[in-house]
This record gives sequence, structure tokens and C-alpha cells, in this order.
Amino acid sequence: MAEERGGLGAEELRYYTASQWQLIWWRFRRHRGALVGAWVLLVLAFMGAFAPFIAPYSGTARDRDYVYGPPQIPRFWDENGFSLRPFVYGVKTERDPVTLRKIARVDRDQRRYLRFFVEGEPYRLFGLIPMRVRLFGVEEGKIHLFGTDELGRDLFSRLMFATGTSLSIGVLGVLIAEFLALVIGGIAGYFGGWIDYGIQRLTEVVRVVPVIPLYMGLAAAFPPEWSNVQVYFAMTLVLGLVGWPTLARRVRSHLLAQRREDYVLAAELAGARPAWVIRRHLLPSFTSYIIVDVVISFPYMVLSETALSFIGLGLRPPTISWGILLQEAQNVRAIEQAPWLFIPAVFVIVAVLAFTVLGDGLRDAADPYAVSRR
Amino acid sequence: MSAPLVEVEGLAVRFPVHSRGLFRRRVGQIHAVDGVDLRLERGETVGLVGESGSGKTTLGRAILRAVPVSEGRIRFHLEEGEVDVLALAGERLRRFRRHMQLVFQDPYASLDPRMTVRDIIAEPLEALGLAASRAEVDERVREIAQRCRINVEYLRRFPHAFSGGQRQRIGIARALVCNPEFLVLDEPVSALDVSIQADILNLLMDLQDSFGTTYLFITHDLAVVGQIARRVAVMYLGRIVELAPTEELFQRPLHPYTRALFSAIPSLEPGRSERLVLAGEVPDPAHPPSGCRFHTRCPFARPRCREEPPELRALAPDHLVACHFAEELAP
Amino acid sequence: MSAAAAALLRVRDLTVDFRTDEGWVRAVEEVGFDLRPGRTLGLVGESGSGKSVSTRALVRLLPASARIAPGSSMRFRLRSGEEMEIAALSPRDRRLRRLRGGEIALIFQEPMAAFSPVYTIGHQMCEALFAHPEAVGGRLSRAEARERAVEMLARVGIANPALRFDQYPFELSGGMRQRAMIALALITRPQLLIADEPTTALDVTLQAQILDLMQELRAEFGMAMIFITHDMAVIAQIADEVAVMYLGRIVESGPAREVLRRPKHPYTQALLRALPRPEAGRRRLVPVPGDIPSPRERPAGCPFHPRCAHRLPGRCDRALPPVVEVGDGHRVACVLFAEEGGR
Repeated sequence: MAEERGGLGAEELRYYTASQWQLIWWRFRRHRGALVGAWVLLVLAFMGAFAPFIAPYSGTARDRDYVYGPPQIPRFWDENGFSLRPFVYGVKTERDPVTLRKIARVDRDQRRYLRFFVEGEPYRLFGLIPMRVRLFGVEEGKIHLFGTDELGRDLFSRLMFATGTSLSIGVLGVLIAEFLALVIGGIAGYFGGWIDYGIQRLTEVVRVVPVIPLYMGLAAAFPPEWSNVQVYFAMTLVLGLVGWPTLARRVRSHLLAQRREDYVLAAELAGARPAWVIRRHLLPSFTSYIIVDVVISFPYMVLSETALSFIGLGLRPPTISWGILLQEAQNVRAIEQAPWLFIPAVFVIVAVLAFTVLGDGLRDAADPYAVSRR
Repeated sequence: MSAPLVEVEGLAVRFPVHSRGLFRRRVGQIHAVDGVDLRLERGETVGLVGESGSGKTTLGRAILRAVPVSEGRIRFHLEEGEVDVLALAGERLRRFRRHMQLVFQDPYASLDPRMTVRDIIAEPLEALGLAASRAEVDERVREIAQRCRINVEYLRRFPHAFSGGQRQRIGIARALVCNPEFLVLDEPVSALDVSIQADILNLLMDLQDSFGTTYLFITHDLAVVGQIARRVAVMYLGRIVELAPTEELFQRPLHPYTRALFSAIPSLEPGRSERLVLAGEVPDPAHPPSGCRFHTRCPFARPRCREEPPELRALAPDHLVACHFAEELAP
Repeated sequence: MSAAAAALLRVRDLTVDFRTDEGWVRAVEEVGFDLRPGRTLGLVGESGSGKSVSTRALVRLLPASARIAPGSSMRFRLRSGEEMEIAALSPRDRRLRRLRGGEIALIFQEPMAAFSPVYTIGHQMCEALFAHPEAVGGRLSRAEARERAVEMLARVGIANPALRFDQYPFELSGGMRQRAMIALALITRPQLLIADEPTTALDVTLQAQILDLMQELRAEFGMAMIFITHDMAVIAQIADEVAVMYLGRIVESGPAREVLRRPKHPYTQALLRALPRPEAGRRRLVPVPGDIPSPRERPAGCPFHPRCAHRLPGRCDRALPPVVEVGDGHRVACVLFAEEGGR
């Protein structure tokens, strides 16, 4: 009876011996939007991780010759002819004869050629490896792809650093929230009964506290003398502490549902200890869900950080994050004269959208057995 | 064949019914199994037949200590001596599980989709530490897989590659890999297509012939039980109403409920005479009827049935029935 | 054929495909049958046989991923005498609403699927009456509708029908729900009732009650019925004609008594042999070898040939077997009979 239908194709054999993760990947691959989202996020993460390398300058370096300077777009030709190597124009600083304010004037005769892997100011990659090479730069003067702010700081460089900060805060915040959720939701779901009841009510209490005042209260509790690093970690903790209840509920309900599955009873009747059941059956059954949860709750973390820093309660300069960049853009002059200062908002929107599409695709793929069961 | 393997006496399982809210008061209880006596002899198959709500699944799981038992005794007579199963707890209960296993009804839910067939079948061996080495586990898994007619080439595969019948064979292999003396089969073929059922029933009979395992075969289907069981117990609302050798029961069902069950089976020959179609449905087990629990649906009920619960008594050798008027009603 | 002239429903070459991740999968292939008024057709088959899909196609209740292949025909004679080609309707055609519930009613395995949980049973029955004035002889007043609904509930054997009228589906027991679902389906006096495994989830004693009830009602209302089941014995109880399906194709059809007594197709024979009989005595059953293939792995030629004990290598695995008439209305799709018929 067992040897029916000989001559299985390699394709079928591959399907039959595919593990859960392979099945998830095969289904995820078909979700084009999610793939795009994943790529966008990979690029963003790359930017953040290699910020000092990609950014031509440090986040605080000022270019006194180019204050509130508009973005410089590399070009290949102009009225003076064609060049294979892209270039930007040089700038000259003059004083406005009336207001006596410094203004940058584009000197169309002076070409600054773009060069890759140039020597720049020294920095440490990942805070460890001392390096001087930067991804790109110009030989003389400076290049500001996204323009500069009121202090002449290069917005492109600042954005690279901000991407790193904001994403890492999101990651740490989600990890803390997910850890709390796993422990608390796991206890509630595994033991059930009155423990579950008590934890459920506690979760509700945390959930009904309005988020903004809670953030404000917690953020106001940061002592002003704290260093930026301390504030940074305190922020992740705040985000985690506020974010766990939703995740904990989901962990709990997954666990409750899985515990009632026949195969868990089968394992118990086979003489498995609770630790075995948890390790071999329960945890694997919802790791894919946890990943989905994390991805879906990620944008909320990033947005919370952005919102807090934007209203001045989160990180403080000189730390650079998306929220801080946007905070700096919130004045009339920026809106009127320097609209490029809103480029960070585009990054926030793109990142949140990418997370959402990715989460969507993952959620569809996370349960490869849902469809095959009839 | 005379020494019993499993002896169940006065077994009762009651599930509390709680109110909702913080102070979950007990507002009542469901008598899922109520005072059941059952003896299973070594190597025999006892069929346990009943409709939904009869408590047949709960009884099977109670013997395996998978649901809390409220009252009664369960004894196993093993080669190493007599074991009072209800006295076992913790580590001793866990170790004892190698002697008794369960085969589930749903071949989809009962196999972890994330484990390979090899790991699923090996689970009892590995969880109980019954094999000295990984090689020994592999050896025993291959052996039982062959016995259960699972292609050993398939051991690397995951359950999603298999049909219901093949999955059920995997479930049977998992239950038998640690050589249990006692197997509870909880509707093992009900979820399968007719053309597959016969194959699984044949396999179960072959395995019993070679291993001498004792089966408690739970089903709602009298026709299936007729093929495989030596004796049949009929349950209604938590009690056994009739217990007899299969042929005796099929030729001379004594309890009105058993007779109704037989007459309800649709026959391939249309238009039979004399049918006993029951009115109504199985009552709520939280509020079982007084006296004989079947009296609300019994076409022959008399006032005495409402007041006095009938004892399970022997009308013929080995033929037990719980009905006050079984002699009169006997056909 | 003379029967075709009087047929209420004529299905020809019905083919349904499903779009899946792996491409198009054929669930039903070239299914054809006639159904006369007042007759019961039993559609019997195992999982993947396409028995449910083919009846869903009749009321155009297929999922969006399904496609009725061109060339399929389902001609239904309406009450008005007009013929309707169901296969040609668009899935959003207004006439479908008249067809469903008014001309053709459905009942399912799970009665809760037929009811909305938020309205009372009576409300839902009255809605059906108001929605199909053409089927119930004109617009009814609320009082008239209520009267008819209560009458119908009583007819299907529900005690205290006036009380049940105002109850919600969840307040009824399993057997009561099954009866209420039948009442809801029949209140518009449909010409055709499609019953999709209505007794499969029920205990045997309840199944017997419901089967008896459906027989009575069918005779009383003179409607035709398509009864889907996997259980040959249920077919024997209720059907006049039977069509045995395997992997989307009808392999054998004919008068129920004839097909069950003298099954011709090896699959029908095997299915009947594999059926456990209610007789005591431990003995080996005769299983059908192998497993039912999934529809996406449909074998070439006769769909049953890999499991068939009588297969002719080189023939059964090459071409579809011809349909041969072996008795009065008894048809078999098998090469074994093509030979006999040819000589």
C-alpha cells in the first residue's frame, strides 16, 4: 500500500520534505508587495548600519559656506559641456547688501566632481573599526545632496545617522516589548486559571492608560543630566513598557489555542515533560506568529519615537533621529524657505509603509498549514 | 485469555461548570462518566459505542489519565505486577505512560505539522528515554513504520505531504512504538473516506495479532465495531447500558437503546420493516434525567423507569444489560 | 431521450476549474445528468470527488477562484415554464436571486451556516417569504407570513413552533436546528432541494429521524432533490437515482436500486465491498488499494485506473473510458463494458 505512485518528481519531493520555514518562504516569495517592502527595509537598515560610511560628513559638521542651502543634484552636463563624472556646482558665500545676511550663491563655472571611496574625516564603523574611507565625496569644497539646515549641517548625512538611531530604537523597543509579552503572555496562556485572569486584568489596566500622557510622564522623568546614551536606552525601555500588552494578548491566545491541539495532548500522553512540550511543540508553533507580530508592531515603535522626539519629549540633540530632524523642521522659515528639511518625513512614511506591506505578506505566509487542512 | 489487563471499577468523571467572572463559582457539574465498570482482557478488543454526549471519549481518556478522574479505581495487571493507575502521579505517572497510548480521531490535528514523520513516531521513545541511542531510536522507528505499512522513505517528510489514511498510520505507529500493552482508539476511522477505512481497520487487526495489544475501540458506528471487537459496551449519558460479546449483541440486543441504534443504521436494502426510530435527542449531561437516563426517549418507559436507576445485570452469561424490563422486552 | 423532455434540470458537460497557486485544477469534469420533478438523485463520492462543487455550480455559489468552463450547460425549468441556462448567467445576475431560495433551496451539513445568528428563526423565515413573492403566490402580510412560518416549523416536527418562531438559532438543540434549517429551505416551496451531507454530522438516531422527515416532505411537496453524501447506505434509503463520482467525474449512474444491487464500475463495487456491514464477526475487509489522489494529481485516462484491480494496461491509462449503457438508464464509464457492448 505504501508504494503508490512511483516516480515522484524532484519538485514534489522537495515539497514533501519542506520544513515549515521553507513553506513560509515559498508562500512569502509570491507576495510581491511584501518583497518590495522587505527590500526597502533592508536598504534602510543598511543605510543606518553603515551611516558613517555612506554619509560624507559627520552629523554635526557645519558648512559655514552653505547655510540653508538647497539640495545639490549631481549632473552630467550643462551649458559648459558634458562630463562622464557627475558634478555639482561650487558655492560662494556673499553678504546680502541689504540685510547683511550671508547667502550662498551657486557658481556655475566651478564644478565639483563626485568621487567614490574618498578619504574623509576619521570615524569608527559600528563604533569599533577606525576608518577614513567614505562612500562618496567631492575633491574640493563640500557636497550636500539633500541640502543643509540653519547651521549648515549636511541633511543627507544627518538623515543616515537618524535612520540608524530610529530603526535601532524601534528594534530594541520591540525586543523589550516582545520579551515582556512572551513572559507575561506565556505565563497567562500556559497556566491559565486565576493567574491568567489576574494578568489579563493587569494588561487591561496598562492598555487603558492613554499613551501620550504616559509617554510624557515617563519621558519627563528622565533627569536632564542624563547622557544621550542613557536617554536613548531609557526611551527604548519606555517604548517597550508601553508596547507589551497588545503583544502579550496575542501570545496568550496563540498559546491557549495551541495547547488544546491534539498533538500537544499526544505529546503529553507520550510521556513528554512540560519543558519538552514547550520546546518541541508550543514555541515552534508560534515563532512565525511572533515574527509577524514584531514586524507589525515595529512601525508603531518608530512612530512613537518620532512623535515623542518631535514634541521634544524624546531624544535630544545632539542625538539625531527622524523625530529630531522633523522637530528642527518645525518652524515657519523652514516651511517657507527650506522645504527640503521635510525629506526625513518621506523616509518615515516609506519605512512605515514598507513595514506594513511586509507584515501583511508575512501574516499570509506565516501559517502554511492553514490552507492545506480541509 | 482470562486474566484481565485493565480493570475499571465505579469510574466517574465530573466536570465542574463555573460561572463567569472573577469569582468563578461552581454552578453545577456535568456527569460525563458516571459509575462505569469495565474489564479488558489481555489481547482482546472491546468496542465502546455511543452517540455524542455519551461520555465514551471521556471514559477512554480517563483510563489514560488524560482527564481528571473524580471517583473509582483503575488497575493494570502487568507482568511486573498490579498497578493502581489512579495512585500514580508526577514522574511515576509519566513513566507509566509507555504502557498505555491513544490513537486520535483527527489525523490532521494530532500530528505536529512542524515535525518530520520520523520525529513524530520517535516522540514517545525520546520523551520517555526508552532508547539508548539515536541509532536505536531510528531502528525502532523504521521497524514500527514498516509494520504500519509506512514507506520508510517517507520518514524524512512532513505530515503535510500525506493523506488522511497515511496520517492515521503515522498516528498508530507513534502509539505503538513504545510497545504499550493497552491502546485506546478514539474513533480512528471516522474521519476517513470509506475506501480508506477498511485498510486502517485491517491494519489494526494485523497489528493486534502480532503484538497482542489490548484495544479499547471507541466509535459511534456499530457496523465498524462489529468487524473488529470481541465484546461491545454501549454507553448512554455516561453509563454503560449494555455489554455483551459482539455476536450475542448483534443477534439479541436487549436494551431498547441498543435496539434503536441498530435500527437507525441505514441499510443498503431499502424499505425494511419494523424500525425503532427514537424521538428527541440526547438530554443535556449537566441535567441528566432521574432514574433510568434513557427513559425520556424510551418507547417502553414505565413509571418505575423514572424513579429507579436500573442496575447493570447479567441476563445471560456475559450479557449485561441495565434495563428493568429487559426480560419482557426481549424479542 | 423522452425523460429529457420532462426534465426539471438537465446538466451537460459541466466542468469547473479552480485557480490555485500551482495553476488551474479541475474539480469537476464533464458531469451530466437529468433530474425529473419529484425525483431524488443521490450524488455519492469520497473527498475530492467534486460532488459538492458541482451542486454549488448549480446555484452559482462557487468561490471567486472557480470558473465554469465554456461548453458547460445547466438548463433549469422555472415555475413559469421558461427554461433558464444557469451556466450562461453572470454571477451577479438578478435572476440568480430568484433562483436561489425561490426555485432551488440548499441545506448543509452545518445548520448554523444557513442561519444568521443575529435574527430570530421566524424573522429569517419571513424574510425568505417576502423575498420570493413569485414563489409563494404574491405579497404576504406580516401576519400571513408568520402563520405560514409557524405552520412550516410544526410540519418539520418542531414542538412549540410559535415559541421557536421567536427564538435565535443558538437557542435550539442540534436536531432542532437541523429541522429549522429544513423549514427555512422549504418555506418557499422550491422545485429543487439540494441537500449537501445534511446528516453526516448527526448521530445515527438523529440521522434516521431527519432522513425520514426529508422523505416525507419530498413526497408531500412534490419537489425534486439532489442528495449529496459519502454514504452508500444513506443513498439506498433516500435516492431514486444515483450518480457515483470519483475525482470530478461520474463513473456510474442509474436507478439507485439497480446500481446498488448490480454495481458495474470497479470503483462502485470496491466502495460497496469496503463498507462495513452491521454484522458481528471479526474478519478482514476488502479495502480499495491506494489513496485517493489529490485533484491536482489527476491520473491520465480513467481517473480510477491506478487503484483498479481490473485495469487494462495501455488502455485505462491512455484514454478516458467511453460511457456505456448497460441497463435501463444504467450507465458506466469503463472500458470493460465498452468491449462487451461492442460485441
